[in-house]
Amino acid sequence: MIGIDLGTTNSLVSVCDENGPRVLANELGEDLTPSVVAVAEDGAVLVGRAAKDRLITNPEAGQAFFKRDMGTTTTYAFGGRRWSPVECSAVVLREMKRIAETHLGREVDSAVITVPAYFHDQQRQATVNAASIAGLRVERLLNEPTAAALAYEFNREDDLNTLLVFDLGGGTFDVTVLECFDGVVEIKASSGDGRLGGEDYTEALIAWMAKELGHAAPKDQQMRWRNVVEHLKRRFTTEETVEVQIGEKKVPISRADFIDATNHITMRLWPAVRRALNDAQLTLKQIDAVLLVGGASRMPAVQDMVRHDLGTEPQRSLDPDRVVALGAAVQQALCVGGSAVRDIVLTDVCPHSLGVEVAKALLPGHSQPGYFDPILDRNTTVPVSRSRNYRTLHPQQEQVILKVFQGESRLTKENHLIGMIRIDGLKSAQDDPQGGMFEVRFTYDMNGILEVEVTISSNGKKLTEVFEQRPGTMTREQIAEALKLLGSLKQHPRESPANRALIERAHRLFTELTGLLRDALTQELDQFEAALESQDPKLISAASESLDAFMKPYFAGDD
Amino acid sequence: MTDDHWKVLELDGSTATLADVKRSYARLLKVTRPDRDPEGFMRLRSAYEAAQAILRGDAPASVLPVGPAHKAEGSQPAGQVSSTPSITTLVRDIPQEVNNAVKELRNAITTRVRQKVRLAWVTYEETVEKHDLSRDSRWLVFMDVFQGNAQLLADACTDELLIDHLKHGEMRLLRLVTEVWSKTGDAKRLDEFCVSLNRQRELVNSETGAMALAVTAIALAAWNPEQANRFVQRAFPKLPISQRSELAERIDYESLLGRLAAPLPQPFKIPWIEALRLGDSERPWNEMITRDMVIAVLRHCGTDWPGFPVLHERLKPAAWMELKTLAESMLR
Ligand SMILES: Nc1ncnc2c1ncn2[C@@H]1O[C@H](COP(=O)(O)OP(=O)(O)OP(=O)(O)O)[C@@H](O)[C@H]1O
Ligand SMILES: [Mg+2]
Repeated sequence: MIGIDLGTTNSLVSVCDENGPRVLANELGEDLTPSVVAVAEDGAVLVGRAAKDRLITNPEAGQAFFKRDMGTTTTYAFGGRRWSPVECSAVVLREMKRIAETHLGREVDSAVITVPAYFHDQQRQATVNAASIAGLRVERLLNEPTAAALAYEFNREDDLNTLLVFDLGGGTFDVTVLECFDGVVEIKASSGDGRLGGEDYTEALIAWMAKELGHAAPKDQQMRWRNVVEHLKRRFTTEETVEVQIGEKKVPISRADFIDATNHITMRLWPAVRRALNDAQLTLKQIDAVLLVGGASRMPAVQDMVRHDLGTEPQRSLDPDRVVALGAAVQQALCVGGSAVRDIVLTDVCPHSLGVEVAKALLPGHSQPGYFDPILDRNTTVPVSRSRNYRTLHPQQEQVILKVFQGESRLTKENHLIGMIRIDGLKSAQDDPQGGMFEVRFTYDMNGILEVEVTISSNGKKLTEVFEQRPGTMTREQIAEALKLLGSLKQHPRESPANRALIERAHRLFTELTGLLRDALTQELDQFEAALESQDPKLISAASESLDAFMKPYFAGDD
Repeated sequence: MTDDHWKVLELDGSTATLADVKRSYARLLKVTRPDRDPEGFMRLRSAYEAAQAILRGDAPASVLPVGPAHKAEGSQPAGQVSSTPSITTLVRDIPQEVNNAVKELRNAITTRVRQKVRLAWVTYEETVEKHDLSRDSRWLVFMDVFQGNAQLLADACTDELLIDHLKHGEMRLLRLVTEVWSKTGDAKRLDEFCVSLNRQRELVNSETGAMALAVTAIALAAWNPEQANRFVQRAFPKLPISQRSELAERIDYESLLGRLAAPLPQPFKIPWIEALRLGDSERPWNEMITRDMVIAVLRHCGTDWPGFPVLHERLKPAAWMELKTLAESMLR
């Protein structure tokens, strides 16, 4: 079993043995695999850095940031077909599985996969589907900040007990408040924003530059421009002023400009922190330490906010890019009862409220449908089981369609429908003036799977429904279908992922070079392809080294 | 809590401390892991939560009071300072400058000129801020000054003043003012304030701000249900869990009253909403005003007015008969 951090911008795979958790690197020696999928000229599926490079020269040939669309019906067209976010995720997961298998030298068939705490049911289900397409059984869906807390607990040297995990990744923002005592990691509350992350900062900077400097990239250059801006953004983390080349001119931009341009995003962070603290019934003073997680938490504006508004110096003993993956590995060890983690127990919460749709009859003769009635409040410790009684509207009413929703709005239309159950035989006894009564029991397990049990009070009849199949997610047949399609899109056998990545990188560099340098690159590339053709490992490795050495200087500082 | 809970925790309920509870829970958790033994875990967990609640002196009081807008003043939950205080001791200890500002404010109130009151009020706020008077003292002094002049206070109150109070986590002024506006059916002012508040994005995203928006919208609901629902909708996700269902019920209730009274002309809305809300008040159904009220309903809503069944349910049988007779006599 392995741990996987399936991120918006980067994904990682990890394992845990007696020596503790560690992240595994691919053939390129990189342990952060960009969450990007593309299709090469010859129809082969590319993933990771190769795909990212391909998108720079050919924005239409693939897709990045698909995690943001998980659980929706969005599709992307590239490589001559339509792709769902689930399929794109499956390609990345398959790559993670492959990396792990190369390392471990055996087949891997199950995984702990992390998801943002704030993912709702559909997004979780979509993640499980992606895993099954990739040939992985999901042993546990673990909330990302919880994973970070587990990694922290594993490496703990101090005894700070009450922690706040502040996880600002590429696409999602999560806040989790937890307490650690005697080996117990008790999550008290999670809140967040499913569409807020480092990528929004990049987009805001792009928009600012278009408005203030009048520079916007033409359509076919957008990926390249985004890449440039992404690097500018990162430089603001360490530099006060950076210069950007626009046309012939070099224009200086200050960090203050950047902070201004993105202030409206930073402002959205605080309310989630408040809400998590409130739900945990804690005040700021009771927080011993703040753990910063996620690449975007490196930004000075974010760190200042933590310092100011939370009044603590952020804790950065763990690498913000890898801590979630390390935690996934710890959880994986917990699942199999590994010796390294015998003394840790984790309890988590459900971050969204769960309930049913009701009609309200406040005064006689008036009933208004469409209200959400929570049975499990958000941030209840799971597993948990709670019930509530309901009545039909009229004594003569025979049937009810019980709709189960997840969310915080009081109107069901603004929450997420996660399933429906038909209940028959509710008609009241002849002399009973009230509607028929039934009990609805929600049992929610550690993977976020909800079981609903309905008991009809008059006859004790029970109905049980496990919501595994929900709207917006895939049926078993659809998964099989996707599996077949992806299976047919095999990688070219003679081209290992490393070689493939080298070729895509060379193609990207080719479009950037001119004159003699371009000729030189062509020569290198030709040699490399000839070597590949020969299938002689010695030749291949020599040519690849030479090509790599030629290109290295151009990509220094590129992630 | 039953003895069972203590038994589950393997503790003696009469001597155990919070630390004991935690230690016991942690120890038992290692052999009752949530993933291996969910049933056992749920039992352990509820024992743990119950024991903690007991040792902490029961569930902690919520941070923000919800006095329903239509409930009498001073019905705040425990832990809040009562709004009918004994002022003298406090006033004696406050700085001279504040006392002067208070005097000015009193003078302004006697003139009953709204603008003057407003100016003196702002000065008062600035002065207490400068002297860093505690929130509770400020409120006590303030209540003393405005005693019996709630209407004037509500008239003089500006959006800025209300928002400023809210930004300091202070809800009392808002409750008072919205109650007056609601009683007098000042839908325009309530609506205006909802709009202003809604513009304060950061504030509305905070719990106090969301509560304030909900409370104001509830006061508005009887007069403009659609608009009020929109605002409550906005506030709802940010409300504390412990209170949102109660608030939701009140907005639904108030909106329903509003819809019932909607076809009526403004002057009749106020007494009818009151009658529907309170049900069996002391209203004698044969007074002049009552006659006019009934005429208005029959003219504007007809005999199948949905408010009738409501009244039927709420009024004492005698009062209902009186109302019915009155209506029937007028129809003839
Ligand atoms: N030094 C830096 N300064 C500013 N931003 C950075 C820096 N390093 C990385 N980032 C940003 O962090 C984001 C990626 O972070 P991370 O890898 O933690 O996200 P992820 O795990 O892929 O996404 P998520 O957890 O939201 O699904 C990107 O938006 C990137 O621009
Ligand atoms: Mg992440």
